[in-house]
Amino acid sequence: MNCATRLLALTGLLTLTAKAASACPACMSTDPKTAGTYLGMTLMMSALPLGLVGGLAYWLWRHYS
Amino acid sequence: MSAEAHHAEPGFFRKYLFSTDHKMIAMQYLFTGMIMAVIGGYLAYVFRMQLAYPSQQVPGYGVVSPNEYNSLVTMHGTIMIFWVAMPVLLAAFGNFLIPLMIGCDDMAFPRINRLSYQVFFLSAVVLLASFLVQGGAFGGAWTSYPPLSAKGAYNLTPVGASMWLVAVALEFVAFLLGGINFVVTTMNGRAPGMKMYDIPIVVWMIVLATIMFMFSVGPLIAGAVMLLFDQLLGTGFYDPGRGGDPLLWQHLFWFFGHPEVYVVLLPALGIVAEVVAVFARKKLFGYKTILHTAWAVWVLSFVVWAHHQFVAGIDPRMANVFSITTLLISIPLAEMVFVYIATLYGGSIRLATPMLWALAFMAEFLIGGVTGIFLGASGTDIYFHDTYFVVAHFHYTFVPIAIIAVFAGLTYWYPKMFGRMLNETLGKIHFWGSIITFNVIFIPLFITGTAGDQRRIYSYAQFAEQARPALQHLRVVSTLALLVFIAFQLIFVFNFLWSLRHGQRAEANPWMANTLEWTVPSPPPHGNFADMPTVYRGPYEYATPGRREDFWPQNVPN
Amino acid sequence: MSSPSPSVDATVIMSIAPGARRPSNAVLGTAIFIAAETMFFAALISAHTIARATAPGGLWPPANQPRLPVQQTAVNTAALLLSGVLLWVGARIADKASEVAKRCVLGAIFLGVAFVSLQGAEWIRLLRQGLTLTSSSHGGFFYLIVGTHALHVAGALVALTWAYFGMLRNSVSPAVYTASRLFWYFVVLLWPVLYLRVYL
Repeated sequence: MNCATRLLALTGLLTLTAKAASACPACMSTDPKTAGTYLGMTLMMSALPLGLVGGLAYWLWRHYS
Repeated sequence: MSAEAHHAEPGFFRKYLFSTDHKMIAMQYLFTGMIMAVIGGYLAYVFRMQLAYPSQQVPGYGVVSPNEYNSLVTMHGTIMIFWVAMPVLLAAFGNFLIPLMIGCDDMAFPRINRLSYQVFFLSAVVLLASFLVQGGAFGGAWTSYPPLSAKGAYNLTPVGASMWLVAVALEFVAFLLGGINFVVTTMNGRAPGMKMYDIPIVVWMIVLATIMFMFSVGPLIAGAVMLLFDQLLGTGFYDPGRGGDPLLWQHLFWFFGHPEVYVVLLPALGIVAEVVAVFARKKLFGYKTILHTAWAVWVLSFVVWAHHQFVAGIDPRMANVFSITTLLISIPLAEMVFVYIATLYGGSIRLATPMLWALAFMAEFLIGGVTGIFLGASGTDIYFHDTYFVVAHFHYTFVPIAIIAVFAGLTYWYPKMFGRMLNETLGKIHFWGSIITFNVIFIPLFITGTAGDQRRIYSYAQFAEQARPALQHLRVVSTLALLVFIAFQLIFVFNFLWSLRHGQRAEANPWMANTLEWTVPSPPPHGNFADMPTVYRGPYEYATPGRREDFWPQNVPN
Repeated sequence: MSSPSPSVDATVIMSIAPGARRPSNAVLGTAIFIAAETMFFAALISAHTIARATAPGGLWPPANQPRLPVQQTAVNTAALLLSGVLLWVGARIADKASEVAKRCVLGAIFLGVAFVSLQGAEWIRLLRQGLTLTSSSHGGFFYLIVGTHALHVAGALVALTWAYFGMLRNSVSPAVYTASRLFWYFVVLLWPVLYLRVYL
């Protein structure tokens, strides 16, 4: 297990320690799907620019090399 | 590339207002940014005077009303970030340096480049005009959070709020147009022989920042359109009473807003890299490391935005993730500063004015970075949220970026831009005067913020529990230091203007640097290069063993 | 750097010299612009998805608001997709100077115009039924998302028409031909995503 994996595992564990809070718009919803929607959209918005630039970089790399 | 290249001297309007030459457009951006900086500095002077001497006459302004105070702080932040840091660091340096440093005659799309400046100019006019409309300029903070920003009845600046949004949207259109130019030119316009790892760091950084800008700005434009609809058409996108969500704006704004910090930081780091290598007379330590850490910043910058919602409301599990990513992003940035320090180690350092600014950047930005750790961790952030600690923290990041690094770049490239040398003595007086007073302005604010002083309070008369009279002397010290800081800037303005005519004439390569812009006359002629250059090596070959000269320009075969 | 000899220089220059496959300025610029646009629409979609998920009582659209014409819009969707396919096939099978390529571009333009007109007719019906920008956040998001897409289609149609007239005069550059098609593919491929998220 190298340093990066350990760090990632630790990150995962830490996130589980948090409890629901009343300041959290998704936590108090009666519908469990709401929290999932927030998580899904956060993931999409985080991953999309990385995916787009990855795709663009791959396309350029193919054409320039 | 440009049709005018072979024409005789063009007329005044062709030359200064409708030029497609990248150098002229860079100068237009530079001077617009500098004028906006004067306006932004004046606003800071007025509201700092109000904080030190509440409700008294401010010389050159008058008595500040609560509404005006809100407008002043809002416009100070807006102008300094969007109309000073962005145009100077990205647009002015980008336009001036990219074609010269990669060895081509102009941008890939010169007319789109001209359009970019024209749209930008229009955006500045709209923003400044908002001072004159009924209710005055927008007073809902530069982050423009709804519901405060969505209803004129709340922010009391109904016209100013919409003009602010229109101006910001126009400005982003301008930088989108300019940004496409930067990336395409760097990809397709490089001189023969210039491979990916031969591109000067500052060009890499400006291009990376541009790509970051273009991938993050879409959500803010979407949010701005929705906010404009809420203001003008009566929709309820951000109105919780009508199925909307005010938090949505915070996400859309900071999805752009936080990468924006790195959008202006990366060019600043690039400028510092160039200056450090030239004035340490040493090969830049770890060229590839710098690039890879810059890419790491790029990736991480897209997953930190929600740390601005720690108090506003966010799923605590999400808050943990964003805390961690926020702390992680300091690693590549710290690594970059370490690499610069390693470049200094064992170098023959010349402490000319650009080098002083570059060294000051590292020292001051370090303070900004270290204080950011308290704000990135969600636990401590809840205490520090919206205090002057935050204000001091981001000024310790933005002033090194938008002021210190810009001065490093301006004093370094001034000979190339205008063909004259700046006065060194005046430059050093200006440097020390600015750096010392800058610290005296903001260190007191760390202390008042830690004691609990809230931001955006016009006067403590109505908030007796917030007043803390014992801290008033710190607020006064901060304001007085600002006055001295502004006075020292006059020295720079004098030096800048005086040297334009009376400075010592600059030769092509006064700093004995390697990059391609120093191979052409100062200032570079239209079309830049008499013979298009060929590149044989990387940009940082200083003090190569076995060579008579200690520098080795990129275009010299051997 | 090893001591540069003429032959070494030649290979260095060769390796980065503009090759035939290297994207032109216009195509590269359009690709970057499309990526920025993708982020713009992603933000709208994510905002819409959150608003939909947190709608009071889970009712989307709200009870007193008209339903969106899912089947009718499927026809519009088909028209737009067909135009994209036509353009793609035309560029695939024929050179840009040929009659076939010109007819394919013209066909794509007509189908695009048909799409915008049908959408406009749909908007008029919905407005009469009481779905407006301010009637609910459902209506707000509908007009915002579909409207911005329509504006993009209109812009792409202008670009495509410009390329078409260039083709008629045999003066269109390969870069403009490719870039305008690229942008058209973007608005075509974006639409099914919006259709699935907003209408269904």
